[in-house]
Amino acid sequence: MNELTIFKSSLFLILVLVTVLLNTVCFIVKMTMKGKKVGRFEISDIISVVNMIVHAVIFFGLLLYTVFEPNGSLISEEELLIVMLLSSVLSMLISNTGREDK
Amino acid sequence: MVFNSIAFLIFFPIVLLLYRVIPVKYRWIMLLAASYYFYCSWQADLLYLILFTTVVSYLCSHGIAKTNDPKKKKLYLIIALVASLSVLFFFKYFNFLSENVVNLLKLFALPVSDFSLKLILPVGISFYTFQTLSYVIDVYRGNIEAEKHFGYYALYVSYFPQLVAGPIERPENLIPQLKTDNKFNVADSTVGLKMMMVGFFKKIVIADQLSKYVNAVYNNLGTDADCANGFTVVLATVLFAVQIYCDFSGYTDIAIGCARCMGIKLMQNFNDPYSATNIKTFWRRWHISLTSWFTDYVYIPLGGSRCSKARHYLNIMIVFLLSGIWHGAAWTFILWGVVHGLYQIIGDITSKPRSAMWKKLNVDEKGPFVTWLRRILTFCLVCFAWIMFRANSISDLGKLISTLFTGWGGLSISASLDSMGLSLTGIIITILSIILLKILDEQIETKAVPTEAGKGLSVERANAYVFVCWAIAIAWLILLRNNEASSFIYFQF
Repeated sequence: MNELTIFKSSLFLILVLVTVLLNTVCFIVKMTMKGKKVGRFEISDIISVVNMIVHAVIFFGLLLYTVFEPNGSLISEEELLIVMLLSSVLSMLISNTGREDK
Repeated sequence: MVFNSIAFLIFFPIVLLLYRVIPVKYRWIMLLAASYYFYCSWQADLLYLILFTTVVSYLCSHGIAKTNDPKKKKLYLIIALVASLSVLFFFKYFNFLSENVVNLLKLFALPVSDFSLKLILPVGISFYTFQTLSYVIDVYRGNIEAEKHFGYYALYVSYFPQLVAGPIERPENLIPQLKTDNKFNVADSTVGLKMMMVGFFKKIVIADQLSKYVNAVYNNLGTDADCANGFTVVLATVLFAVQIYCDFSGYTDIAIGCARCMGIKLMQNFNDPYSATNIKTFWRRWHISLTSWFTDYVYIPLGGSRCSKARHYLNIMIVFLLSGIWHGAAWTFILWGVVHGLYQIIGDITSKPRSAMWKKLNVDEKGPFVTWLRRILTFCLVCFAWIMFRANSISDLGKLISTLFTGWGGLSISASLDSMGLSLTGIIITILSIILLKILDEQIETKAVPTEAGKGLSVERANAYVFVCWAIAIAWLILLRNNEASSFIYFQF
């Protein structure tokens, strides 16, 4: 197996790990640094935005690659959907945690 | 123009922009034109039907309002009812009736040939007909005043978000809102867009993805690709329960969201129906606008529950029979309605003995154990009835029911899943989607909506919604690539 094949076969797992890791960091920061600010912005908000940007960059890139290079795609659309659904579930749960109205 | 199309994604922002730019006095013209354009994008040649129903009900309601003679009032009411219902009957039920009459005559060996007309079912006819009926009946009862402005009345009948699949709005709720100067406000727009997003998620990510697994079982009976066995029928039916909920409530969410962006609040149509602990409650949570319509205009006038037990049960059966017929001109729908009627009657008869049984067993009837047991049982009963709803014909229904009870010998679960086209990826997508659906549904139902409307979205929540939008985009891409994007199920009614 060449390096590209290994990368392709493990990309899905890497993305799952990245998603879980990013959302875990968001959750820990939210729980431990509540109300702490860097300048005008809360740390948890900054981490959330970073999470969103990282996901956007990865997914937009992969999606474009998948659409325009369907034969040589790095990951299937179904796998991309799984990672995005996982990310949605985790981030929804995080945003629900500690809400006043719950 | 379906909601889940590029055309609608262009159409809606233009309408919204014009709605905000045009002075309130002339908004109805734009909205009416947009609504008719929306309808014409489906069936331009059948626009005359909606115009006919609108004009007749408008004139009759004015006739009712102008006269003091009860006989004349009744006459106008009958004209309106006959005109609206005959259009509905002709286009929706004529072929069904003629087919059954011919079959019946053939049973008696009478020389008859098959007779049917080439009729296209007008989109949304059952919805707008019921909406006009509720208006005329309410004017007749004196519950509302007849609307003088024809434009606003025509807009009430054809308002595009709810034109083709409801919610079946009431005149006292919608007409005043169409006249109000709904100024732009962030809260309404946030809630509206959020509901639209949830609707798109339900339709594109869940309903359309599940439809291929359901179709594999229900559409291939008796063919080479027939994969029905006990397990696949159960699984396909449970998936259909989720599919139809996501399809229909997804449509409703988008409709409510569209209207909310214009500051108009449409009525709620679903309230977590699969959490119902009995069939009666299920119907208070499923297609609420239709249930309340039948309650107000059929069940209560028949006497409701304030009559003898036998009459009460007959009233229930009539309502559910009509509900079944309303859904479609097929014996499967009629049977579905009858089964739900029977569920309610049996539930009512056994209510006291069941309570006595729990007391005897010393189990708290309102405790979590009994509640969950009831939820599961109600879900199973609803799913069993969905088989009738989804079956393509009575013969298919027979095959499915017999397979459900006898098709369990020597089956392999992995082979069954393969035959349905359900891979490990598909299973994971389905499970994650349903978990997310539950979270999103709870957010709509809990206090989260008004809180968000008041304070604006938190960064975390906005982040989560962005991820959901990504998921919708990817799922849409998959559907477009595989040519699997479909219309909404309730459009056929």
